[in-house]
This record gives sequence, structure tokens and C-alpha cells, in this order.
Amino acid sequence: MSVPKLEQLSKSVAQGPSLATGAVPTQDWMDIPAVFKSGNYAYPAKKDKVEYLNSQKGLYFPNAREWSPEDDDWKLPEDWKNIILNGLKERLDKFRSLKIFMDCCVRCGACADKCHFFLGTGDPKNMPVLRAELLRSVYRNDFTLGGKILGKMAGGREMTVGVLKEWFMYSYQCTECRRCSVFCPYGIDTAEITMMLRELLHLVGVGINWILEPASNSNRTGNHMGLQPHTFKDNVEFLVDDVENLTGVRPNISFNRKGAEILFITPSADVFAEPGLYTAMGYMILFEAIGLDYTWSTYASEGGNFGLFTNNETMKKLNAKMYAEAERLGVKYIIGGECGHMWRVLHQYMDTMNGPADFLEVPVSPITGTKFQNAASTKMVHITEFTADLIKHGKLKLDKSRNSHVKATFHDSCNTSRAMGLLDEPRYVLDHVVDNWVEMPENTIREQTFCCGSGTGLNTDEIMELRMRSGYPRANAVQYVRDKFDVNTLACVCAIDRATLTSLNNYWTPEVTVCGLTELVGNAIVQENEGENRAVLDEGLRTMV
Amino acid sequence: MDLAEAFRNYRETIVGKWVDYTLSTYTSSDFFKREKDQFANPIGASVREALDSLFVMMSKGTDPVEFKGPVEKIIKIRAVQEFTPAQAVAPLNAVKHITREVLAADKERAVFVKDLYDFEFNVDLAVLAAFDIYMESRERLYKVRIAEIKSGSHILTDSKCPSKLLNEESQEFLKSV
Amino acid sequence: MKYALSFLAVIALVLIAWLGSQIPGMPYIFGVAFPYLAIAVFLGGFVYRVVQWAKSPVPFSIQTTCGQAKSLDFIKHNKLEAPHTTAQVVARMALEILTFRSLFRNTHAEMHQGPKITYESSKWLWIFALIFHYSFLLIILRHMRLFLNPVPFWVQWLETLDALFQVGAPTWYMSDVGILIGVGFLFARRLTNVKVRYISLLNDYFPLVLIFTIAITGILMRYFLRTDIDIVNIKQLTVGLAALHPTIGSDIGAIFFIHLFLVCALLVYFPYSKLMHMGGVFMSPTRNMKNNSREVRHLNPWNPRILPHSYAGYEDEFREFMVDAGIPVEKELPPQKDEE
Repeated sequence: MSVPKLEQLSKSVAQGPSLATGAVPTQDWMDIPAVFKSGNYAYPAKKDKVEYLNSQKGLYFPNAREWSPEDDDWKLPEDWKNIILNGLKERLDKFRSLKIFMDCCVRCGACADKCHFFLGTGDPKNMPVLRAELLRSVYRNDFTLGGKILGKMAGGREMTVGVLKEWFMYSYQCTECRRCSVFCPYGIDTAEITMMLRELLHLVGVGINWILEPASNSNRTGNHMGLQPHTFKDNVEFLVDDVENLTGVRPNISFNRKGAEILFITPSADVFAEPGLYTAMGYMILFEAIGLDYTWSTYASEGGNFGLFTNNETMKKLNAKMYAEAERLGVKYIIGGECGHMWRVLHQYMDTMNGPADFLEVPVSPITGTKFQNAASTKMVHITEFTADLIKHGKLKLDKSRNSHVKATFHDSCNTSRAMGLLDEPRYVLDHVVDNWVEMPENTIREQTFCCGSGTGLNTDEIMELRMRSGYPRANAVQYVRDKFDVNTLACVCAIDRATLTSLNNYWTPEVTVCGLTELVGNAIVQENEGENRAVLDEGLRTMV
Repeated sequence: MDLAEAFRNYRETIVGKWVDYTLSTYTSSDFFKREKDQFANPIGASVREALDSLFVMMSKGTDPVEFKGPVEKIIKIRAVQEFTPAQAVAPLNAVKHITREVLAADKERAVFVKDLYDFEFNVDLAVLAAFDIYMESRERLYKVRIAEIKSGSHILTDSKCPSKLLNEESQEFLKSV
Repeated sequence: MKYALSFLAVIALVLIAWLGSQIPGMPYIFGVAFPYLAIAVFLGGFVYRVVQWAKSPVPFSIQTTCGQAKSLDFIKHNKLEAPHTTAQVVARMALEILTFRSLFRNTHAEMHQGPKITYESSKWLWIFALIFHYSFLLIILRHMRLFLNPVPFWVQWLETLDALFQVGAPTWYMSDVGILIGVGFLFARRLTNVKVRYISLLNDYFPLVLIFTIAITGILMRYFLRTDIDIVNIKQLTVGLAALHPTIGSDIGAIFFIHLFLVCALLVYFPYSKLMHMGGVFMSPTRNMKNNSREVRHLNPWNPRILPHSYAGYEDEFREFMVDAGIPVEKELPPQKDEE
């Protein structure tokens, strides 16, 4: 009697691939089509944004139109298949990484359970190896001898609209975090595969709005937020007022000032959105404390680069503003604020794309005299490198007790850890600005850090549930240190993290707030002339006065 | 021998089946059913841990208020997966059937099936708690969305001219959300 | 069914070699023509593939850093995981290629009873991959005794090392056991690990079955069917092959032809398959690049000329606002025009 009842009950249990739970899809992955329904895809790019980007010199964004992933007909160009295959061929000739990664995978499966999207969703196609197979199967079919002869037997498959839809689904369920690449015996980097998939999709006009709108904003107004120069300035000045009210010291700032020694660029979210605002206040307090001769720019007012999530041409075009502005203003070098993907671009792409920056000088800290040899060519220094050096030389007066409300842990962002190796500088800074902080479990930090689940332009709210799932491995580690050590603050050096981990924690661990590292620095700094005017700041810069 | 002992003896079996039921969404082939070393992940781990402690609580007759902890652990996860509310909560109910099935299969203990009233009542309470928690979780999710809008992150889309958000009208609107 | 197909394919190859070599005149084809052909395809194919890879440039510096980069003096640099010099890259690559460093890092997300989720280190794949690859290498090197006359000292030295345990007569080589265990594990893992089974293709099972059968036929010849083959004739053939004037004696034995034919099949298959990871591992940009991309400029040969949205264009669009807000501009506003 009970057995049939249980079966009846199970009719109400959802049907979805969930290899991660131990259940195995009965069908071969090639036979399972991607199904789009509200909540599992990010909205497609608006027609006017695509048209605007396409009108820009050097960029190519064809097939602007109204469309929806839920429609059967995606209104692809007629010869879309040729476009894709030619595009793939062109990229195989341009990127050795793509060729090698297509050919070398032995499907050992070491990457499979390393992906936060797979761990969080259980969808087999989110295993990095299978995500790559989505492309590799087409590559085999059309570009390898075995595939041409044996076809499906050799793991090849025809490029069809179904395959294209699958590409769209899964290249936008990858945050290019490179965690899989750490574990792959051949260093196969799914980020490269995802980038190629996204580049190919843009060739036929398939892209998402959350990426293309910020990219077009950034091109036109200088920042993703679309803040026009006067608004950008207003926002920063608003923060200056706040800092003065809180600390009693008004930081000096300037915009587009020629002859400044240093140009400072940070993600525009820092001057506009919580909790990045507090990090921006931290920058200003820090620079004021050491009397740095620096300027903000409204033209290059964005550190981030959504071009990285689009194609290399867009990345280059957006990034080029930084050097252009540095040259125009005649600064000596550039300091970059806290951001993950921004630093991926700066560390690994900028100099190649838009260098050499001969008009700048090798960065030397004006306060300590330290020469930043590691940035000798790109001439861009990371704020935590700069701060760590100041602390090492005793140039900052820090009072840890001003962070006594904080029990911190540190989240490495994917890009700074795995595409830069910035691991110990932030920890060094943290050691000097808070009394106590703890690490999350070993395999969830440093080069093995888990992504926030919303990087590469996936931090949009229409896929909130998906983000909560893909962020679960990270949240799970946060939960662990919260329960064990009463951690109440998650510090990080990434603007996307600051926004998305806030949401993630709001859901999974509401007791834990998220802050930028420089916010904690700003809290701890003792200004020489702060005197009587400093308010009692029980919650640092977040204190309501 | 009494029911309590039966629960103790069969705890692992029942919880094991319960976890399988909760986690599996596909009919697996025989081969995979035999597969003992189940691949696991944070979600699987949370589910296993929560169902186990919930089973102990329900079989021992712990104060139902305590159910909230383990139920929350499961439902919070299921609330962001692709389930309808009923689908999200359904697996909790399954333990009733699993327990009956397991006890009935053991001749010596089959007599206890009729004594399951209290246990099953506890399951009902857990299911009711699950509905509350499911709603709480969904509400929290919407609050997270609203918080993103308020914090300004949302400005990245749907904005021809973001600066207009700074004007008083919009600020008023945001405060009222 | 993919693994069953691989068995079928290998059985077919075995039958071809066994029956084929029995036909008069065919031993020459199987003993001489096929090996030369296979070697040619292997070498040609291997070089072709590597050249094909090398033809595509590495446009960007995309090293994966798995440790602290070289930065400030007081921050300890992890030289192996974030190499900064060529020597450090060589060391990193050596560790990767010789000890499978990345696989060693492998962790396995595991759920435990109780409130702990751990990502435990899972070294099985690493250990068996090592056993397999090193056994294979040793076996290939040992086979050099067949092609070189006199047998070089290092081959004898390797044989002694390989037979260190002196089990059985003739002495069992560790590599023979190792390769069977290694392949056996890798195959069993493909079948029993749910995830790996789900992603496995025919292309993954076939080489394992092929290599397994090659090893088995070799072991049969050495330990069990020694009387069925004529070692002198074999050595004459192999040395002749290496010296490019092959002579083929009679009564070599079918088992030898099966072994040889399967090796030929492997050689031919090699360049067109995933086995090319042997070459690719050296060329993977995420591993073999220096993490000095901010210190030394990396060049992209096809760097397109793309300029940013110009400052002039930006100022033209927003000049009025900028002037109003007191932001410095390059060109002042034109004198007031009449308002429309």
C-alpha cells in the first residue's frame, strides 16, 4: 500500500538533471536540450544597446533585434551556421589556447566537482569538462579527421540551433573563475572556452543586456553605471561630505586634474553603490592621510571592464581609456582600486592590448620610495600592494581597535588569486587593521577560492535563484566560519564581490556583512588632524551619524 | 523491544532512503543504484545532515519548535532550486511512507506500524514548518532583490540616464520600497 | 556501450593480425610494411599536430597563478606556482609533467555524516596515473633492447631496476604489473565513477583497451608463451627494422604479430586523438607562461588597432555639464548662442 503512495508523491518532485546529488541522467548529454524558462537565463541585450556598440569603430555587434531566449525562433541571421564555423576557425588560428584546449582534454574528470556552478546546480553540463565538450563536439565534427570520418562515434556533432542555444545557456552559467584550471593536469582553462563561446555568440547577435548595457555605458560616459561627468563628481563629493561628517577631516579630491602625480581608477560601483561606497571613502581617507597627489577622472571613471565578458575587441576599446587619460593628464602612473576582473584585464591584457605606456614612469611610491618593479611595464599598481608597502614602512598610523566591531574573514576573488597571484598582500593589510580575523576552510581560499557565483556579468537579479545556487559553495564556507568563529564580516578586494556577496549572504548568512579591504583600512586610520571632530564610530564608516 | 528501539535500529536505513529520495530526481539504471560511493557536494551534505537530525528529533518526540533548524537547512536550499512550493516541501512527507515500508518489511517489527501515529504527527508538524520556512525564504529572496535595487547595483540595467535616479522623486520612491 | 565498442574494435584488430599473419607472404606486410607505415604516420602526424598548434599565436598572457605572485620584497613569492622567470617556469612545468602536480592537488567534494563538508584530498587518480605513465615509459625504454645491437648499458641498467623484486622466472618486471594495474584502474574508474562515466566517449575507452591488450600480448609472450615465438628471429627483424634493412625469418609466432599490429594501430591512432596530450601539456599557455605580465610587455602579433571613444568626443558631448560642475575642460564653451 505504501509503495504506490510514495510514487505518487514523487510525481511532485521536480525533474531536473542532478548528477551532483548522486542521481544520474538516463540520457546522453547530447540528447538533453537546453530549456529556457523565466529565471534560468539573463535577459537578452536591448536592441538600441547592440546598435550603439555596433556603431563604434573597431567593434562588431551585428543582428541587433528584439528577441527572447524562450522563443523558438531566435531570429538568427540566415547563414548563422557559416558565421559560427568561420568564427571558430578564425579563433582557432588566433588563439593557441583554444586549439590546445580543444585537443588535449582526456576527460579525466578532475575538474568536474571543482565548479561552483556544478556543485550548486547539479547540472552535468556545468561540469567544466562538459561545458568545454559543448564546443569541442562541434570542433571535432568539423575540424578533426576522426570527427569528419566517424562523426558521432568520435564524439562529434553537427552545429545546430539546439547546440547554439545550449552554448548560450552554459556560457552564461560560467563565471570564468578559472578554478577548474588549477586542477587540470593540462591547465585547460574553461574561462578561455567560455570567452570563445561568448565571442561566437555575439557574431550572430546573441548576448545579454546586463553585460552589453554596462559596456555601452562605459564606452560613452566612461563608466558602467552610465554616470555623466557632473554626476560622477557629485557622487564622489557626496562621499567626501560623509567622510568629513564621520571623521572630522575633509579629504581633498580633484577631477581630471592635469599634472597630478597619480591617476586613481576604481570600479564606478565604488562611488555609487553600497557597500562599495565605504570602500571609496576608505580610499579617500587613505590618500588624505599620506597626502597623495592624485586625481580622479570622469573620462576613465571605470576600473571594471565588461568587455572582458564580451569579446577581446570590446575589452581593448574600453581599457584603452585608462592610458589615454593618463597620457592626457600627464600623470606618472596609475593606481587601481579593488576589483577582480578589472585586475585580470590590467594584469594580463592591458599592456599587450594598449601598451607600451612609454609616457608613464615606473611606479615609485612617493611616500616610501619603493619601486614597484612588478608593475614596471604596465605602470599600474594595485591598491593593496600600495597599502601593504605603506604599512611595512610604518607610514600609516593605524588603530585596530577602531575595527573592534569586526570579526573578519577574507574572500579571495577569482581573478586576483588565479590570474594575478595577489594573495598575501591583502592578508598582510588585514593583519594590521583588524584585531582578529580567520581563514575559511583550506580548500575554499587562496588559489582554490570559490567564486561569488555572479561574476562575468551574471550579477543580474532576473537570475537571482541561480546565483544563490552557484554561490552556495562560497556561502557554505562562510556559514562554517560564522558558526565556528562568530565571523560577522567578509572582507574582499572585488567590487562585484561586494555587491553580489552581499546578496548571497543576505540569503544564506544574513549575519555576515561584506566590505572592501580598504574600508577596514579607512576605519583604522588615525588622521593627524582629526582632533575633536571625529565622531564615535561604533561601526566604522557605516556608523549613522 | 519497542518502537523507540526500532527507530534506533533502522535510523540509518530510513534516513538513507529518505536522503536518496530527496536528492534523486532521475530514475537511475541498476548500475547506478548499486553505486555506493555517491558523489557528494555541499548541498548533498546539508540535506543528509539535516534529514538525519530531523529524523532523530521526530522519532524521539523532541519539542516541535526545534524542528525549525534542520527543516530550514533543507528548505532554504530547495527554495532557490527549480521547484514549485509543493515540490520543495514534498520530500519531507516521504519519511512517513519510507518508515512504514521499512518497518513492515521486518516481521518482528511490523506490529509497530500501528503505533506510528505520534511520529507521523511530528512529520506533519515538520511539513507545516517547512511551508513557513519556504515562504520566509522566498520573501528573503525578494528582499535581497530589493536591497540590490536600493544599493544602486541595479542601476546597471534599465536606465537610460542613471543620473535621473538621483533626483528627488526617485530617491523618494526608493525609500518607500 | 561505448566501452563495449572499444573491446569490439580491439578484438577486430587482434583477429586481423592473427589471421592475416597466417597467410603466406603476409608476415612481411605485418612485420615490415605496417611498422614502417605506422612510424611514419606517428612521426609525421605528431610533428604536424605540434606545428599546427605552434602556428596559432599566444595573443595574451593567460597564466593561471596557483600561488603568491612576485611583488613586494616582504611578501613571500611562490616560485613554483606563480613563476616569474624562465627557470621557475621550467621548474613548474617539470613538476607538472614529471609528477602530475595539478592532479596531486585534486580534491574530492565529499559529504560526511555530521555537520562537516570537506574537500578532501583525493589522490587515487594521481597515484594510478603516475603508475600507468611511468610503467609505460619504462616499457618503451626497455624495448630499446630489441632495436639496438649491442644492447646499450642503460637499457640493461633499467631492466635490472625494473626487475628489482625478482619474483617468478623469468623475473616479472614491475612495469608490466604497473601498466596493467594502471590501465585497469583508469578503465574501472571510467566505468564506476558516475561523473566520469557520463562524460566518457568511445575515444576515451578505446586507447585504454588497446594499451591493455598490447600489454597483455607482451606479457603472454614474455612469461607464458615463450615457446610459441622465436626470439632470435624477432630480434633479427626488429634490429633490421631499426637499421632499415629488415629481414623476416619464418616461425616468428602469431602472438608477436598481434602485439606488433596493435602497437602499429596505437602509433597511427596517436596523433589524431587525445593521446596528443603528451605534446600539448608542454604548450599549455596557462602553465608555461611567466607571471610577469605587468613587468614585461607580452606581444600579440595580431593586435588590432582599436582606439577608445576619444576624450575629445566625450568632452564634446558633456562639455556644458563639465563646465557647470567645475571639471577642467580642454576646450571652453563657445560664446552663448541664442536659446531656441
